[in-house]
Amino acid sequence: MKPRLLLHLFTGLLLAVVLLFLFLKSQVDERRLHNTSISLLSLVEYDQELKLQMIELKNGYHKNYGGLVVLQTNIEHQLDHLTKTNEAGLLAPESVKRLGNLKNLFRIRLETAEHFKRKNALIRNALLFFPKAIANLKQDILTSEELSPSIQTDMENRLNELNSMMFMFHSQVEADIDRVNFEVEIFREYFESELPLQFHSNLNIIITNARHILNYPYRSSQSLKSPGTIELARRMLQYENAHFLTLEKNALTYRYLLFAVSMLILFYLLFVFLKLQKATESLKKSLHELEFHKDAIDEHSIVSITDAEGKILYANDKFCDITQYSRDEIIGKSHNMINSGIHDKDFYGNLWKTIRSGKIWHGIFANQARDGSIHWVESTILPRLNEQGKPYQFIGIRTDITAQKIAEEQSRLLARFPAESPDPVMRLDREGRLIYANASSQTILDHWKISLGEHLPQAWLAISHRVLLANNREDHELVIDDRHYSILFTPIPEADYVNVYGSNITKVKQAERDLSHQATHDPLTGLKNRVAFERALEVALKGAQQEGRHGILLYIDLDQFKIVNDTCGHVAGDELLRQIGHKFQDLIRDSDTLARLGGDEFGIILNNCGEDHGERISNKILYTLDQFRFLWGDKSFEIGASIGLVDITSDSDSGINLLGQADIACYAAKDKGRNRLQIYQTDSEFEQRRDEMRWASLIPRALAENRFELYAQLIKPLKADAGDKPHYEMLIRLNPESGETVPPGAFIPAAERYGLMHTLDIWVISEAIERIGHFNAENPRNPIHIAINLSGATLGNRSVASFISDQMERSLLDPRFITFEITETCAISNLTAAIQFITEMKKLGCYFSLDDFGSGLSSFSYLKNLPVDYLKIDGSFVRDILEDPIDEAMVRSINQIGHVMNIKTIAEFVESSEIEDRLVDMDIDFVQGFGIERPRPLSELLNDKKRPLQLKVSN
Amino acid sequence: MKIQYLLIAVILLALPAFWVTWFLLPQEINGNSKPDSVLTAAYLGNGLEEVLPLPKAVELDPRKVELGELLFHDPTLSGNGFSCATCHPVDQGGMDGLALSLKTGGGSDVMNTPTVFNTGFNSLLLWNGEARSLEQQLDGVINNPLHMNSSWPKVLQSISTDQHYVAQFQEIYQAPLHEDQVMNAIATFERSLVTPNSDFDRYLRGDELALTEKQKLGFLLFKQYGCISCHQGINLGGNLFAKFGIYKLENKPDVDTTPFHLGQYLYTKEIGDRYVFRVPSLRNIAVTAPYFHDGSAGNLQEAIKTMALTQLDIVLSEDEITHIESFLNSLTGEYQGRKL
Repeated sequence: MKPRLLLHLFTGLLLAVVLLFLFLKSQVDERRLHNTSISLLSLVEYDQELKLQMIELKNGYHKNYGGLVVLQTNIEHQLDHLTKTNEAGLLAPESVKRLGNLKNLFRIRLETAEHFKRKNALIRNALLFFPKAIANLKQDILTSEELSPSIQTDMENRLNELNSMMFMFHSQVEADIDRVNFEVEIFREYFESELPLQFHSNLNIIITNARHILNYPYRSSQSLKSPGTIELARRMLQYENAHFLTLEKNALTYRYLLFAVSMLILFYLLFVFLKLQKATESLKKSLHELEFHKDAIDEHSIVSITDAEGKILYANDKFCDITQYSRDEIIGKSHNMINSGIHDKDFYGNLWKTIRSGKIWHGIFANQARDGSIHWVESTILPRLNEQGKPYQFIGIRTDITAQKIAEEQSRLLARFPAESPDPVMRLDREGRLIYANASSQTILDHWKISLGEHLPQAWLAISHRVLLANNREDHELVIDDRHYSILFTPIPEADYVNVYGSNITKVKQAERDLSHQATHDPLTGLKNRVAFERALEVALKGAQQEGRHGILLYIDLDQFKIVNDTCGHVAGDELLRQIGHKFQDLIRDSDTLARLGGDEFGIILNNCGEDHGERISNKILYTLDQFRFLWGDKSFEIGASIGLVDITSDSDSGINLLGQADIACYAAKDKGRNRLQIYQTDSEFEQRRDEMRWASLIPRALAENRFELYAQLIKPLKADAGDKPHYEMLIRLNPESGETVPPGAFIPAAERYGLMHTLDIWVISEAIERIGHFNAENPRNPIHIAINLSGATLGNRSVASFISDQMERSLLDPRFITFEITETCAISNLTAAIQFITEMKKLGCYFSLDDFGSGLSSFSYLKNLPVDYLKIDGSFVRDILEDPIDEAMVRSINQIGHVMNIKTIAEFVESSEIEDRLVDMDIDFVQGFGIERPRPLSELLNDKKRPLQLKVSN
Repeated sequence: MKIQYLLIAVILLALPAFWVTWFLLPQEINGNSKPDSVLTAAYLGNGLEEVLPLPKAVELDPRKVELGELLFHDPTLSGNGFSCATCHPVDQGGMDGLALSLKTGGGSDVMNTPTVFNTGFNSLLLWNGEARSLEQQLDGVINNPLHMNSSWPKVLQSISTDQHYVAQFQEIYQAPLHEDQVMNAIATFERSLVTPNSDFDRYLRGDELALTEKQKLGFLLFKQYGCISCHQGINLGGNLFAKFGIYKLENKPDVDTTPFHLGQYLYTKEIGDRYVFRVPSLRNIAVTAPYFHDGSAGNLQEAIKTMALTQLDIVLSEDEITHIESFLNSLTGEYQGRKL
């Protein structure tokens, strides 16, 4: 890895240097050639100019050295430039070799120029000074007194000649220097010999200067010669050009190379780029896949990463969810914070040992969430190893198996369920072999004499096969000793076995038996009940209809049972019924059926017998009861019975009808004076009774059709002075559909027997109160007092009191105008309710009257308890008062007792004025009856009562 | 991924490689650009006239002139407390007025100090003419232990401590500080030391009345005796060599004790170069006494007399000397509008 990196770096550097080298070599700066060429050309030019300048200076055309100086400076500058160019390595190799030579030559050239200046200055000085020197000598000669004028003139001429000769010489390019030298020598010799000595200095000056002038051309022409500078410079120029061309040629080659290398690099980069892109793509894909895997794991598992010390570095959402810590709270914390404490030190020690050694740890442990709840996780912890193979991180992947754990525990407990079952549970394989049986099955297994892995007994084996085949459950019963078992075969076809559930149903069986006895027997007497009796009756009827076997149905109603029940309580009544039941049982055959039909009514079916046998049995019953005394405490009761007898023949249509007929016969017996037998006959009397029963059924309809009507019968006070007010007893009449009024005797008993009295009472109460209330409100001066009959059923109803007061309130009827009549029997049989009712109503202001006093038990002791205001003496006493002294005494004594108790007396059934007179004598307070006034419709009464008022008004 | 990193590494490494290689390359030669010289035909003319007037102004980079002026007066450039202006005060003729120059540690050197004025037009500098440019002269004088007694590293060190200098150099030369820049700046300042508007120059420019009759007569004598053959050009000299004493030496010097008198010979060792010196400019000659390389002539008349004797082997009359002297007096020009 590292050497490879170095190699790459080295290659890169090498490439960079190569590229740079090629780049630099691939171009030639034209300016370079230009600069050098300019320098060389300039040098040539300057050199030539230098020469020209010197010629012109020599000729005197130029008079100062400024131009020369400029050229000198320029040459120096160009040489410097060339030197610098060479130092920069920009000269052609051929030129470099010659540069030193060139510089030397120019140095010589410049030195020559310098010498030229020096010499030129000198000769110029000589030339300039020459005329002055000539003139000075002339002056000497002319002023000399030693010289003759001719000589003076000759000398003057000679001087002039020399002067012109010198200037001519100087201006000649090609001069004959030897001749001029000779001339000057002649001049000197002449003047030296001729001139006086004092003038010789001036002569010398002339000669010296002449010689200066003569020397100069030679010297200066030497200076003008070029030392070969121009040739050399030109040659160097050629070298430079050639070199430049070579360089350009090379540069082209380098350019190609540069292009090639660049392209190679470009391709390599392209290749690398593509490879990189491919790698990136694959990386991206891998990353995506990894992310997908991570998401998958995160979605499924609880993941956390810790460092080597167990400090949490990473935790996924599930981890946070299950531990209930937020990520910020746990990152950086020790993983111990979620330890549940369920596992011991060794467990964790072992775990750490495993993963620290670089191994993977698998296992299940419990962790604790923030709220202290424990969750179980199935965990895999992988150590992440560094390059030394030492773990530096641990990744824990866990699955929450808390639910599994719970389910496991539950299923473990559940698995014990059949074993713990008190009922036998077994499982059979498809062959009917017992593969499982719980402990409770032992009894059955013992019975079957089999054990685990053995086949069931043959009969049961067949059932097992059958249920599996039909995939249908079958329930069978197994009796072992006195224990009953229900054996339920439940096939599980998909598992190919049969579950057998046994249950001990001994008690159920017992209860079943008990239940069927209860359903058909009267729990009080142990006799059959009405249901069983009716069933037996059907059987008997069927026997009669189909086989002609006649039978007898007896309907027995005890006469004095109500009194026993009322006076001694239900316990006594129950005991009485039981004793009588036993007595009856003794009187009949086993094949006969005795049942208690309800209350104090019994029924007997005598099979296979005629009417005579029925009569005989009936008489036996009556006789037995006659002999029987029911003793309760210190009381003794005589018990009688009314018996209805019906033949069960093939003509009998239904059991219900037979019972109805027997019932009617029984009532007839009761009507005839109790304690007797009545054989049912299909004559008019029975027909009438049957009509009454029909009335009873018609009462609700009549109420709905509003066919009842109120009648009123006057109860007249006999002692007007005593403040007694006349009042009217409210009576109910039914207007039949045919149009004729039906007497109350026709439907009242039916209503009483069939429980409709209360409805009628309610109707009477609301009707009477409304109408009288209305009337009294309209006739306050002449109000009507009324008496309303209340039946026992109404008295026993608790809501009646409030109903009545509501009605009175609504009709604004003063309660003091109402008297309620209660029969003695009714009051006594509902004594508590009656007293409560009476007290309540009396508080409102109502009055009470005890009806039919003397007809029932007629116990005066009750009277003390009943706070009544009137005593209504039973009509049966009053009716015969004139003929029967006993009745007369009865009436008298009742009247006396009533008065003693401060109770007003009323005599009913007063049918004649004679009876009325007698009653007046007896000091009776009120009278009522046909003899006084017949009942008439209430509307009629009210109309009559209104009339006098209206008349008065009219008067 | 690895390849990407490698590529980046290669590029990062290649960049400095490119950079280094680039700078190892031969540098572009600064062409044939002319140096900051006033030795051009524009000033020096075409050579047709014997003398020509100084330009009223020279074209130079004013920033360099300004910087050069500072450096010219800066004693910290030397190793002995001298500045250029110590020997070349521009407010009194551009030279010290001494016969011989000062030297390090006191005492006198062997040479007379030439004036710094108009030296830009001299193609030869110093008495021996060994300096061919002001830069060369500077190079010599800085390193000369008798004169500036310093060296370029020291000079550059001194300059680099002055933020003003550093900023100025950077602004003008756009390159790291170099001795060439220092020389160039000072030389440029020196080239600006031109003294135009002398009476003579005005006369040359056409003002006939600028010279008196005496001066005109002096100028005529100057020409007739051939003085003008050496003292020609814009500076009336300064651009050629000449033997001091063509006919005789005034006082034969003992060249063994004072070899300096041998002049050019000291450098060329050619017999012909004995006593050859640069011909000095006569500009402002009246205000730059004493004269000659050894300061041996205390005044102009003396110098004129000596010149006639040594160079022409003649003795001038008193009148002639006076006339020439009055002509030379007309050569004094102005610097910054003020007569020297």
